[in-house]
Amino acid sequence: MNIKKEKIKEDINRDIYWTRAHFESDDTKHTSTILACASWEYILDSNGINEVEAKHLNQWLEEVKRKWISFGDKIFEKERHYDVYANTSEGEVNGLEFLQKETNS
Amino acid sequence: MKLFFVDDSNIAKEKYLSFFIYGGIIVDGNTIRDLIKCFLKIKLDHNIDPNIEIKWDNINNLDPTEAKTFKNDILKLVKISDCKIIVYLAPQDFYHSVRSKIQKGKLSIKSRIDPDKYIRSLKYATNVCMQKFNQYLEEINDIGLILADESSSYKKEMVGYYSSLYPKGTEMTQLNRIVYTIIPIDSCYSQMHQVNDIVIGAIQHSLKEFKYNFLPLLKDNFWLKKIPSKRLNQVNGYGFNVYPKKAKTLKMQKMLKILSEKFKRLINKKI
Repeated sequence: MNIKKEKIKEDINRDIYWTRAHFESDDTKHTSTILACASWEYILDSNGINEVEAKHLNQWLEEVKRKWISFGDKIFEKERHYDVYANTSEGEVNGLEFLQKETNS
Repeated sequence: MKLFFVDDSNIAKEKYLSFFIYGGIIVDGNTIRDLIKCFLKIKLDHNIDPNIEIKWDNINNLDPTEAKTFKNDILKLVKISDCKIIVYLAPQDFYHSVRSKIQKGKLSIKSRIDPDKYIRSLKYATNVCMQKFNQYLEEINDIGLILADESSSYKKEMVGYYSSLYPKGTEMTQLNRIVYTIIPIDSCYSQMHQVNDIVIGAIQHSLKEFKYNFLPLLKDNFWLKKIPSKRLNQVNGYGFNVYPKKAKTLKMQKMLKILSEKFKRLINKKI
């Protein structure tokens, strides 16, 4: 499985981080894109920190990558997956809405 | 004389809401007519009948883009006015009760509003906002009056509470800058409460996870204290107040910290 990670983008108007990761099967026949986003409070809370630094965001991206690798070839059943990392159930709903609307390009 | 328009966020309709806001904008009695005139003009510019009540989550069926422009226009009006903002925030757990029940053979845990707990929370929020408003009036050497939106289902209990606070109440007698008991008014008859609803809605919206940040627009409106020894002006504890001071659970403690930190972070962003 080949994986191409895009840079983590920050949406300063929403205080969030988001990125895309492109997965390709070993035989290059199948592809799938993961759209993931995390809220500032999720990164803060999950690391037990007071300030978000680049290393925390990279750790989050690795977490996303590991999670989706663990699904194996099942990932290719859909062309696009959304993955939201939030502290509240309200955040999960808002995050999904953000990914579907704002990053649909 | 200053008029403080207060309202609470409509928690009952918002299933996923994680915190509650009470408070609003303070307007000078001399400028209120001009402010209302401008607000009515904004309504007309967006083809909204001035007599129709608008709320953050219900703007006369405008499409989302137009609704956002309308809200922005109102927030810009507040920004250029001399209005000040005092708000109180508390985590949802502070007034919600978690109840479990069996539904169709499955155990479901639902968060629901406990009326007694909710009324207590509204009273607590009222007390905090009254005290902060009185402090503000002392600072500017003026007097004031509070007008509360009373379209909620707990109108009777709250009106009774207001009358107990003043003039007979003993706990609030130190609030000598507030000239009379809190006056309840239904927001459908009060244009300023409609402006207030947009302001409260914008603050609440901005602090939610993944939502658009409107706070920089209101930055200069929050009542703040200039403390010479500190680089930044103090808003926490003045225009922006997070309660309770001592959290009972770790979850609540985290929420309190995040609300304060997120506010400080968002308000200084450039949009």
